[in-house]
Amino acid sequence: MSGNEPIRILVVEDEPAIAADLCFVVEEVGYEIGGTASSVDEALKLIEDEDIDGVILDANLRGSSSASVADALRARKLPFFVLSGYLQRQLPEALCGAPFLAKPYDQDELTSRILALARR
Amino acid sequence: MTAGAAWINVAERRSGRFFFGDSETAAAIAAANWAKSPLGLPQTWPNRLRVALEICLNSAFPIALFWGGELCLLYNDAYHGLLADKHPRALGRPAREVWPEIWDVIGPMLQGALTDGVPTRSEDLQLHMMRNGRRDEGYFTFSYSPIPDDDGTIGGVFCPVVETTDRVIGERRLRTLRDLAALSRAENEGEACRLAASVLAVNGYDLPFSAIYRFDESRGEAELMAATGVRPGGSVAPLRIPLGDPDPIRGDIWGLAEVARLTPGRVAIRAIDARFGETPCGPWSAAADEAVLFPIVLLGQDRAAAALIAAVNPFKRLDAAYAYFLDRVAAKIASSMTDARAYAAERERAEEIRVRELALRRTEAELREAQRLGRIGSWRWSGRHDDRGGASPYLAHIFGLDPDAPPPSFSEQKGRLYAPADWERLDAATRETLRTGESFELDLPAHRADGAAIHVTIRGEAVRDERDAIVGLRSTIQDITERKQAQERVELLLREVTHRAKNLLTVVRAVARQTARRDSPIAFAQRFDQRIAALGASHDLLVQNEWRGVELHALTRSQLAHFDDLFGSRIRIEGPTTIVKPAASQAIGMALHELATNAGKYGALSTDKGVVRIAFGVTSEGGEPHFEMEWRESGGPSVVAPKRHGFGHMVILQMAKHALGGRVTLDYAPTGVVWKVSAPLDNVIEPPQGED
Repeated sequence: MSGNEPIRILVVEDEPAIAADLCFVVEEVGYEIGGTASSVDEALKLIEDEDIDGVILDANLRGSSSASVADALRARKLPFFVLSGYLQRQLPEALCGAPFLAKPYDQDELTSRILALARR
Repeated sequence: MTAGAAWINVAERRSGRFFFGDSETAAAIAAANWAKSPLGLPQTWPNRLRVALEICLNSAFPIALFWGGELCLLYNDAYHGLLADKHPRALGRPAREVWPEIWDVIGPMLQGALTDGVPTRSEDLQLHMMRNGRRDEGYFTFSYSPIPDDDGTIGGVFCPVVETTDRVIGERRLRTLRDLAALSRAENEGEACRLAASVLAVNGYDLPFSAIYRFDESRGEAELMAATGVRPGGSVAPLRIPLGDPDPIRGDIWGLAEVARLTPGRVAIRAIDARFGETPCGPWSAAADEAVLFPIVLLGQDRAAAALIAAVNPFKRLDAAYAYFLDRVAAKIASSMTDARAYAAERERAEEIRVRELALRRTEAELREAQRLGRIGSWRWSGRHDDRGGASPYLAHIFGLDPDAPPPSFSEQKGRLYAPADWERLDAATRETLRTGESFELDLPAHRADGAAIHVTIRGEAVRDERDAIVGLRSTIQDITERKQAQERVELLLREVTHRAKNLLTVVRAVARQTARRDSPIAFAQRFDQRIAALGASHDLLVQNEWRGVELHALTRSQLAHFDDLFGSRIRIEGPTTIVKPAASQAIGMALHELATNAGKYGALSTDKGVVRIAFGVTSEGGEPHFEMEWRESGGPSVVAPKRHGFGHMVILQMAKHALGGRVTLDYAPTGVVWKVSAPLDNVIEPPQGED
């Protein structure tokens, strides 16, 4: 990954306030927003279309599981972590195996998770 | 005449005296001193009398002759039995003197025959003659026929007679015994005694009075069961007699203690003396002077259960026939008491069985109801795979099986009631229990016959025989479907509530962080407070509506509550009643809050002239229904687009776009800020109930 090409993060989160917060933190870390999605379809489309380096994935999008998004990310070997208010063990298999950040999150923890997306 | 003279001549020639033949009576006639008799000397007797006497004496049939105005008696040998000890005294005596005791009956009859020539005929006429020192009950069939005298008048009465006493009494006793035998079966011993007494009461001749006492060994007394011819409770038949008590009045007056010890066939005889006071006579003119006491021993018992006191006919000797009759009476009473006891015992057994069956049925019904209430079915089976065992009705109910058909065998339950894998678990558990005797408990998903999924708790234990060997399994199957569903609902709800709470906390933290980034500490406190309050207001509406959505007019008013005096004048809300989804309500609510804040600070609501018009509704865009909403300010200070966009700007643009999945525009037109939202209807509006 070259130094002058910014790292692009896709934020998949249906709660606008949280999405906004995530975007700010991503930018604060020095990365770029590769897109925001609030539904599974939207997320899958952006993964397909956009040049993305890592993904923050909310486990539940408008009432449905984002497991299929996780599967798509694994298929493309894109690093991601799962964000959820559920306990990790309550998540479907496709999601509970991934790195996990529990809501409500701590900003430092969020920051280190975002940084970890690029280190992989 | 000639023939008669010849006959007398012969008689005279033989002995020098009148000769009447070789019979004992003839001899007595010949030997008698006739001088003092109203008949006079035989040689003076009319020919007709002699002829009649000749017939009489030559007859083997009892015949008597009554001759003359005083009806003097002559008779033959066969007649001796009737006279008993009156013979030979009676020979030639006036009938009235021979039978003063029955003269009231026979006198008029004889007189009638003698004076009017009217013959009589009597059958089985009861006559109580004195015989052998006592008045004797006797029955006679006889006729009185007039005998003409030599001069053509009636000289006497001819009387052939047969004593029918034995037949009459025999028939009477037989009738009593037959009636006793024909009695309907009594329900208990007391009734048996009373029924027997009702028969004995009819035969007062043989039983002037009688009483039946039942022994009550535990109380040491005898209890009067029934009595005939005597008042129950009187001095002859007290209601209770203390056995063996020597008191002459209140004690054991009949000596029943002794009777209680008698073996069948033995009797006791008691004289009826002054102790009993005036004893009843029954149909007789005199009271009985003795009684026979029989022990009544029921079949299969060795001690008397009761005693029969039978007063003896004062006019009849207690001969073998009489004793036999009384013995049969006692035996009949014993057998009908035996029958009654057996019947009562039988009935008691039947009643016991009925009561037990009733109790069993009640227990069964109770068990059925309890199973229904507890949603528990039970199954008992041998443990063999092909065994259907026995199931309770509720088991069929749980699985929706035909309750009248036998339950499916264990192997048939595989795939039908339980998925194969679940059946295997159950099979393993039952085999373990059959092997070790340890009980098991399993929660298993199962299927009803109609395919509906249910959940059951199965408990099983080993059934053992009397030698403690395991012979099968007893199991209960409890339908816990509802509990399981409720549990799952609660778990889901808990997960959801936790999820929402955490989400909300995350939102609050995000709002706090975003607010802090832009504002000074003092401004932060105010702005953060307002934003959380706005969030709270839309949340309140959501909760009020049970999380089903929020009405858009109410939502708008709640977010602009700060300006509520301007509603209807400078703030106009236009649109149909619209229920928006929970997520959309939060995004729209926050956006309205930020718009209102900005309008109050810099826009239309910062002066006293500006107007805000909020409109929403449904339009069609490319055939798809779309939700549209517009915030339009006018009449305020001229608008200058801000150089730096804060959190509010992000909320107004991004949040709505995110949450609604539509287009959002914010135009800083000089005449006033215009905010427009357009989103697919489904993303915003709560669909009609019933859909997900």
